[in-house]
Amino acid sequence: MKTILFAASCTFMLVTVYMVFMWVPTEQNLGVSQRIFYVHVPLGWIGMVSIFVVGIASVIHLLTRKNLWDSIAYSAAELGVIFATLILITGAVWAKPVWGVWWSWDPKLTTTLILWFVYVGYLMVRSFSTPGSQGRRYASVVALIGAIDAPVIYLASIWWRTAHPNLNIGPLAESDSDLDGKMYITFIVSLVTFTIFYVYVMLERVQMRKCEDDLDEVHQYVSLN
Amino acid sequence: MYPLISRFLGLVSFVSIAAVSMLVLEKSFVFADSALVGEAKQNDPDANLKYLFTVFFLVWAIFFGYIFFLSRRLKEMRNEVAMLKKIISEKE
Repeated sequence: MKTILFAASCTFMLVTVYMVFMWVPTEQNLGVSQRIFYVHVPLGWIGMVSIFVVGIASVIHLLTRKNLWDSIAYSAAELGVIFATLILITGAVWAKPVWGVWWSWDPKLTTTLILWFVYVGYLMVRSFSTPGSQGRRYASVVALIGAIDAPVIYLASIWWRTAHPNLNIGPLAESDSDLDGKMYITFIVSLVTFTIFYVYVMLERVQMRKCEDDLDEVHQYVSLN
Repeated sequence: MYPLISRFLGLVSFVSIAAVSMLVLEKSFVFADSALVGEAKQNDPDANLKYLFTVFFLVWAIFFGYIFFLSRRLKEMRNEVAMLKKIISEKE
């Protein structure tokens, strides 16, 4: 399964790079910088999916107390912080040529920054708490608060006046999208690519996290005997 | 598996950097559908290329960094397992 995902991830990455640089037409108003869109939006998608994964895995962990769900939540949070960092960085770099500033307190940007703080907060709670279930439970609560932020980010461009364009993805995406046919295909391919890459790295990280937990148990056993 | 991912990410980074460099260096580069390019942008097709380059560079650099972190953690875990095996065998 993982080998298939790895192969698919490699193939799609190369296809995406080709499509973004060689195949897709350049947008009339934004010029070359619009090609950042094919990276920025999929990263945003993964960032939001990840906090849902953390939230759902945390709820199941709180209910069942099974370590597997905690490993999933921790791995998703770790990946989430990377993707959320990338959303903020790529957004800032794109904002400079388009808006003329690196950062503005736009509702979508602000709520995404809050999401980044939630991810960092989750990992900080985990690293500063003593080994055992208490830190895991506290972190699960942080994750649940963070999960509320994801729909707020998604709906920010509907609820508030924002410099961001209309929704292109998800249940409320407008059917008459502004994107040209080739642009839309490139966008979907990029979205699939990053999703496959995320699933693959996530599976690897969860497996590694389980090994870390097992090692901790062996350490405790060795130190007690 | 992680060295394999690193190599793959290296390949993709190389392709991305090479593609962007080509866009920067080749002034006469024609985009896939130049008819869609506005008049102002047609005159200066490589406007804002540095931002596109920065985005791709940073994305791949951070992915690389993370895979490097994972591979180091894996190496640490292997060392821990070897150490634990040694401790257990000494106790027995």
